[in-house]
Amino acid sequence: MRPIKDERLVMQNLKNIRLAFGVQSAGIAIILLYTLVKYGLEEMIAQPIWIVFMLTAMTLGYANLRISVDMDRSETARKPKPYLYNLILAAGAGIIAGGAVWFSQPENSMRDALIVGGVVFVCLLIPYSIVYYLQRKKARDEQEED
Amino acid sequence: MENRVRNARIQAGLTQQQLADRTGVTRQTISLIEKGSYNPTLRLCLEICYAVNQSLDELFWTDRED
Repeated sequence: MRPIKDERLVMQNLKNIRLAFGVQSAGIAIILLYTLVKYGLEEMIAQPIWIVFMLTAMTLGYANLRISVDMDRSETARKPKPYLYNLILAAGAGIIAGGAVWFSQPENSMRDALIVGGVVFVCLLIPYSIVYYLQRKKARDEQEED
Repeated sequence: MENRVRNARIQAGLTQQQLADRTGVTRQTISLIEKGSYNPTLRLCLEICYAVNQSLDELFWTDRED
């Protein structure tokens, strides 16, 4: 099949992909819901299809960060806070999560607390960093425009 | 969107297929543009203008409807 160059057909192709994505997501959601009702939460999370669902949601979330930043008209978006602020926020959340694991149950080891805290820290720092980069870029563009 | 692509194409002595070949789209797209059923991007508008040797104003400008 030849690559599509016609802009109208490219747009149509994207609309078709969106439709297929909707159908696929609905199918996955139905399968997961069925598993949840019939076998319970643990069985649902253990399925590979759950990972596919979560990865898709994450990809969509990350891809939509640019849209969120462009739509944001608040003062923070115009003049982003220093990167250190994001770092402290992510580290704080990581420490709280790690601390919660450490203190919640006596059998939890320091290693568990460090893993959970580390994962929370990294999972927050990555999107914060991307948003910070996008906000800086937007602020620079707006300054150049002025 | 109303436009004057059809008249300009005929004046330039081009068929829909020839205009489509020159602008890198399908004949159906040219047909839909002429009917006003598809709004082309600015890039395609320019390609059409180059192909028929007319300006954007001449082909696509319309006064605002009140």
